[in-house]
Amino acid sequence: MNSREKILASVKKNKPTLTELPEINFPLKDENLLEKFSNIAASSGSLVVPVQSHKEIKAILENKFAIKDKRVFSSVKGLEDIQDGSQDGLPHSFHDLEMAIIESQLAVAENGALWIQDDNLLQRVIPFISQHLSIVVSQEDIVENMHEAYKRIGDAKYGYGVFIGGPSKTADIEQSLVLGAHGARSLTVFVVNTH
Amino acid sequence: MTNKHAALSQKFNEDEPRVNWHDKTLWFVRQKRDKAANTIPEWEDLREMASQIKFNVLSNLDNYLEEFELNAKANGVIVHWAADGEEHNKIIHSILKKHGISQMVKSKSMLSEECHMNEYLQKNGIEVIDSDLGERIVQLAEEPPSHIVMPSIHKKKEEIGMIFHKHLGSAEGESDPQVLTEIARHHLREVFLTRKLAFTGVNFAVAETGEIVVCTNEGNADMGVHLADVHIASMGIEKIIPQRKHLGVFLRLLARSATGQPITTYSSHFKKPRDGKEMHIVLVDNGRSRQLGREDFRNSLKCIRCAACFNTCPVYRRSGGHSYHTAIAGPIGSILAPNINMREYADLPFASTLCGSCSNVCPVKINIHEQLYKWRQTLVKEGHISASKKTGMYLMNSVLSSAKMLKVSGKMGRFMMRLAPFIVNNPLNKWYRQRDMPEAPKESFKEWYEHNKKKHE
Repeated sequence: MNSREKILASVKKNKPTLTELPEINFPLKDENLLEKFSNIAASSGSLVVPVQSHKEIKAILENKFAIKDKRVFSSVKGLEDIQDGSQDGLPHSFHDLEMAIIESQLAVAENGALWIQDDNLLQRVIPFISQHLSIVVSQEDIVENMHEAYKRIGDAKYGYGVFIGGPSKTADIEQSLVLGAHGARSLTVFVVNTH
Repeated sequence: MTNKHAALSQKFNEDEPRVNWHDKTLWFVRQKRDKAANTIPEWEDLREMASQIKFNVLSNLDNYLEEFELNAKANGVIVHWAADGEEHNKIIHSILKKHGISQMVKSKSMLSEECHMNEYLQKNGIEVIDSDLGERIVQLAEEPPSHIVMPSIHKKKEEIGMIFHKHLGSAEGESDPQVLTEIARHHLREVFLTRKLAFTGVNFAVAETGEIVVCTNEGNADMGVHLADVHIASMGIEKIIPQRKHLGVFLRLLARSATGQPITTYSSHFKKPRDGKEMHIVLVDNGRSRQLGREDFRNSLKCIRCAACFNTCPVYRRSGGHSYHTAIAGPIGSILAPNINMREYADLPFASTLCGSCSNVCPVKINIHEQLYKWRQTLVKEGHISASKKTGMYLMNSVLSSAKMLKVSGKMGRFMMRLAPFIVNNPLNKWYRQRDMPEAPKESFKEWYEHNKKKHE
């Protein structure tokens, strides 16, 4: 008997009587989702910027992050011209990335997080290796909580996905919060409302 | 046999100001947890839901494990099974050897601590670098982590500064957390960019899809994995959850219980390796299926390793993680460890006041304090108790089960305490060490009642 068989046999022998799975049913609260999202994202260290066009995004990035002279990656439709440097795809080649702007189709109000799938990314490492990160999301894509988020995700066949809830951080040194541990030093969320 | 936890905590308590600082720091984290929990009106329902999901998992674990393996394999993941820590370490080593790799970058895995993986690999010529900042600090200090979420919570920033000065070239006397973190960022970035194999733990493994979820605040798991050619993720078999949607329940509970955050910065769902790369998942038993068979203790397997129980436990706060001499300390560790080795960890269930605060904060409703009590009974039955404690308990039993004996010894005790207090107020009395003995009343309650009853009749 190999380990697999040993372990499964032991589990089968020792497991208790079958119990039922609960139904997940939490009523929605009908709140102002943009407001809730913005407040919680801000308290997690993110900067939330409501905008009405991609032109606004470009202007803000150029002013706040001085991206004209730095290496930038963008996978946002309508913001391709911000990119600089080769985008040839090897993950290590992005080591000098200063700013990455990516799209999200799902944001969660209760925790200020945004869902990114590998089809939003050229390389999975991009949101982490970049010094700064910006995410563009539509206001109508903000849902109330994680249950709603997973309903939206459904059975999507991604290879990799991640909820990003703020800039990289740590409090491992005497509980002092420091932003920019190993991932991005900042997260700017552009919430687009075209109405 | 010596009570190891008692002896180790005594040492820890030699520095009272430090203990006060440690206590305060951890209680602060408990308070953050409370604040976060109070923002969710349905918090108690969520706990109940998580508990029921985990009960279902334990009652159907073999089927979920097979389902998980099937789906992970369909995603192109290589699945291994390890009966114990030794086998786990050998599997990791064999993957490294197969690829001719001798340097590994690691993100936090308490399971790897349990299996003593780092030591095993290092003995076999593999360099292992822990990338979680807290873990890197204790690795450089050559100590085990003292907390499963905040590994170097026991270290002051000046001490960390000295460690970084010695190993990473920071300026002598530098203790600013911002500066030290920046130094660690540069040092570990070099490591991420050069290591070909990344090892991670697993917070949740989804049977329905074969994907695993790793939660970090630093982004170190992702930096390691997305730059490596090979990803190895190790997990205890109890980390399974049935469906992807159940992640909603657990991700709402985990960070709030652990640090008071609404969610960790990154909740990474690894399903398939990158094109042309390799991903391995190692399923580890190491005593878990045995614990599953213990009716009184199987619910300890519901644990999602948030450490909320550590942060609230008065004993943990004032004795520190190293007093538990095991990979996972605190209340949950005290009900998991005796299953691994009863003799070695017999002291742990006794390192408790049974206040029940742990059970109260546990996001998956493990009845930790009840299990601590039940383990005491099991350990005594198995003979893992010191002779002096055994004698003491027999004596107490004979006094407390006889009304006459209780009356006589009570009267004698009160008499002695009033007339010759030095008999109890001395270093031989363990209870006198950090507290004053109470003032002995003139009469027992029974005597007072008899006396006053007559008065009012």
